Amino acid sequence: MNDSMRELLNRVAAGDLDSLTPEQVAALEAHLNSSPSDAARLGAVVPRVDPLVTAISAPVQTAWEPVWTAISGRRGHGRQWPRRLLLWPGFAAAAAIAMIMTLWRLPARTGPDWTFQPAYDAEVTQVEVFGESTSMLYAVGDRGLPVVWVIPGEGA
Amino acid sequence: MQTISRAGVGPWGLVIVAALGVAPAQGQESKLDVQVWAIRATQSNSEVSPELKPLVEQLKKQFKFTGYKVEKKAGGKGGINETVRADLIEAYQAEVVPVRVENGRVEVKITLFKDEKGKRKPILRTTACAERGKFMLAGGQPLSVGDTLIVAVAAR
Repeated sequence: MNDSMRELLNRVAAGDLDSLTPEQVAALEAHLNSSPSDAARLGAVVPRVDPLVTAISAPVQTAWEPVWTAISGRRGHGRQWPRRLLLWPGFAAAAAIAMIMTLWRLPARTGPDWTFQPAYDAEVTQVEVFGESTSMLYAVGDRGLPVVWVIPGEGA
Repeated sequence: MQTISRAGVGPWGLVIVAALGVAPAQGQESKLDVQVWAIRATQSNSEVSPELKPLVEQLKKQFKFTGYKVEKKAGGKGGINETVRADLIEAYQAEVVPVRVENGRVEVKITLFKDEKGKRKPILRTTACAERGKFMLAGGQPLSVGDTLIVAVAAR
């Protein structure tokens, strides 16, 4: 075995496989197929343990018991709200709708918001005057705005 | 809360009940907003209230007055056959009774009174129908210093 092959075997035994080129892998494979002793010696190599890895022992049964107790004793996900609190959104919605409906019933415009629009199409169906007064029904302007006019009597 | 659940009325049921409780009953008309304006028509000046400018030229052609001033706006709310009372100017008062509301038109009965020596005397009573919010006119009642009262009535 030449020095280069011995070096490859040492590198494999040390776990340094990533540095091998495909040609070196092929040569090493061919050598191991032809040298049962080197193949047996390489197969007996125990992988070196990373010194940074710490062995963790599995939990014993007594350590699991509190875990199962906590899981079975849970009441569900998150905090359970009292049922009466769940009804508050409904009450709030009812109050909001009631307020909206009440405002809807109010007249949209009152008082100063009135604009003067003559009733050109007014229909006067009855006129009654008192005392000695008389009445007239005028059609004012081009559009004939009806205006009831009271003419006081002589004594007024 | 358990009782409510068994009755089948949840929070949204209360919302519906609240909405029905404040919604107007089918076919019921809400109170009308009634306006009664007292207009002083005069020959002593040419003052015209801004609200009346669109109409004043037509009034001048029909009547002898040069000035038209809205001296008071009064009103209130009243349902069908409910009386809306309005104090006008110089001891004049008006009563407006909505008689009917149909197809966007309002029929009202208007009574004009004058307080003479502590007694309220009717001057004019007329029934007229006009489009909601449009002003019907009645005039001719004497005011002080030779002026004349014109009453404008609208309901919506």
